Amino acid sequence: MNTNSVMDSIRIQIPSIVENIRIVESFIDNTKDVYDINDDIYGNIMISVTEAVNNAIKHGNKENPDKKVALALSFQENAVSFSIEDEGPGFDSTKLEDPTAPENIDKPGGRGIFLMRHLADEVHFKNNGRTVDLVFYFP
Amino acid sequence: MKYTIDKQEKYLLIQLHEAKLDATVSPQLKSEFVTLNAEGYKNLILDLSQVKYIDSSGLSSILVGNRLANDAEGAFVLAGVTDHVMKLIKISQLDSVLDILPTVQEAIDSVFFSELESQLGTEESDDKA
Repeated sequence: MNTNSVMDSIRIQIPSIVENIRIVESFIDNTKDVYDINDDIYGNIMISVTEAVNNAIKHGNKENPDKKVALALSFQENAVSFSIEDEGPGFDSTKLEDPTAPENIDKPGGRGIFLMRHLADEVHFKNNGRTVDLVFYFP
Repeated sequence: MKYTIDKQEKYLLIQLHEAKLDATVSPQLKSEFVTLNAEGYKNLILDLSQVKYIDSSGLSSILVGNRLANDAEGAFVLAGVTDHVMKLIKISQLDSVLDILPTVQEAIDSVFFSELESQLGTEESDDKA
């Protein structure tokens, strides 16, 4: 039996192409099967991680396929953490507009990080916004 | 993007055959809305019963469809919204902006009803501002 607090960790790197989000999705699908994650948490993970990877591909690496997005996963006893890192210039995660404000509510964009903050139990931006850590607790 | 379109006289029904409405699918859905709007279809029903998960790009494409229909004084109705998709719509507070009905049939009925109302000229002015 494994008694370490960190039970498992995996890291992948993908070129910054939007279609590569499919790789991330199947990566998350695999973890769902291996660790028996329930449907609601799976949905929260799926959407939050794909939002973070999309931001890394589009806004961080500007869809430059020579730049990579790194995705790391680590399992603890009561939680799973994802770390998403790009090679872009970073950004100020404290200066974001509220997408539910009346002037923004029907704007098409600006919801990605807002959704991550609602779906993940913890969201930490590091490294001037180039890295985001997402933590999901198990019930 | 896998989908079917049912073109009727009064409305157009789009049924998405995708489990995820994400960044790999949403741009196509958005351009489909733009094309249909340009072709003069103003009443759209989007059947999301097969979509289990949606991300911000998916919500974005739906908002574009909604705005195009509203600008054309038509209807844009979502039907068959599943649990996790509804959760994201509510988190984003888009349930205050979008027309959402449980089934396609109810969506069709509501389109017919609002068409009838506007023909009779008894429609109370909606706040479109």
